[in-house]
Amino acid sequence: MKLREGVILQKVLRSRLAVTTGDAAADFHGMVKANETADRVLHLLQEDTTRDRIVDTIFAEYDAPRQVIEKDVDALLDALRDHGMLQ
Amino acid sequence: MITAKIADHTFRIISRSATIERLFNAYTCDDPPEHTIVSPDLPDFQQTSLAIQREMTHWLHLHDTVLMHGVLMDFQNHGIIFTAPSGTGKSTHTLLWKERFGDSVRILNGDKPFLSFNSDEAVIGYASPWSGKENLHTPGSVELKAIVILHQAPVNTIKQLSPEQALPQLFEQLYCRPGYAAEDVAINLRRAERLALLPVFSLGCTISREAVELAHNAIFNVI
Repeated sequence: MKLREGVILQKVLRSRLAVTTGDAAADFHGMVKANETADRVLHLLQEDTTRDRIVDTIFAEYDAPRQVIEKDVDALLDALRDHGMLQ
Repeated sequence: MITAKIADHTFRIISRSATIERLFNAYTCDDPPEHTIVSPDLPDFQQTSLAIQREMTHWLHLHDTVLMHGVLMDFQNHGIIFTAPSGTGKSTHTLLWKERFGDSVRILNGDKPFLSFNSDEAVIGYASPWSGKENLHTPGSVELKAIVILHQAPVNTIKQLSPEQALPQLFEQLYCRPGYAAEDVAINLRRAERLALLPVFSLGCTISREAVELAHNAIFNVI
């Protein structure tokens, strides 16, 4: 699992956005806004990875309960899937 | 062949169609052209006009200028854009401003104005000949001071949006050619960001003079 080709990450108005471009934007330009943790997840998704590997990395780097991290990562992955941003 | 100044740039349009040339009649100039557009031989006027619009819009995109979907109004030297999905009533609302304020209102474009980001200080809105079914356009330019995102509602309400709330809605209304490369989309995101930092309002409105008064008071309370 990784970000689809054509998805760009750009800082706009102090937030990181993931936006579809090129063929990924054939229907519309999807946009997902990320907080700091989600920004880290988006960067991890620039390389091929798995949901569990992402959770492990975030759990190691951030001071938060694993269950909370799992919930946040799943919500972000769902949003990215909904916007056709994952391959 | 006609030479036209659009968004402060000069285009030579080569066309065998008098109807196409008429589209640019109000924009003619004698300056040397910066870019030449050869009108394609398409079966009807709408398709030909759209092809010229796309080529001009792409050239302008490379010169810090973007086409935005909306109505650009010059109200006493204050540029105001009304934007919304097609069919919401942008033109109807703007015409109510014209009815209420008369010559204080100049409708520069009723559907697709150009916005220039050449200057760091101000966004400048320009008329264009592509102006929707009402064909509302007057050559000219104005500094953009506020944006109003319209939606139909049973009662009139207005609120100022935070830049974060405004950004996605503004980005959607900037012209982006299908398949635009990542760097082009990134440029439009920067443009949407600058627009979102202007006063942006969400106006729920009926077709009424009351909606105009409400929007006018809210905008001029801020700018």
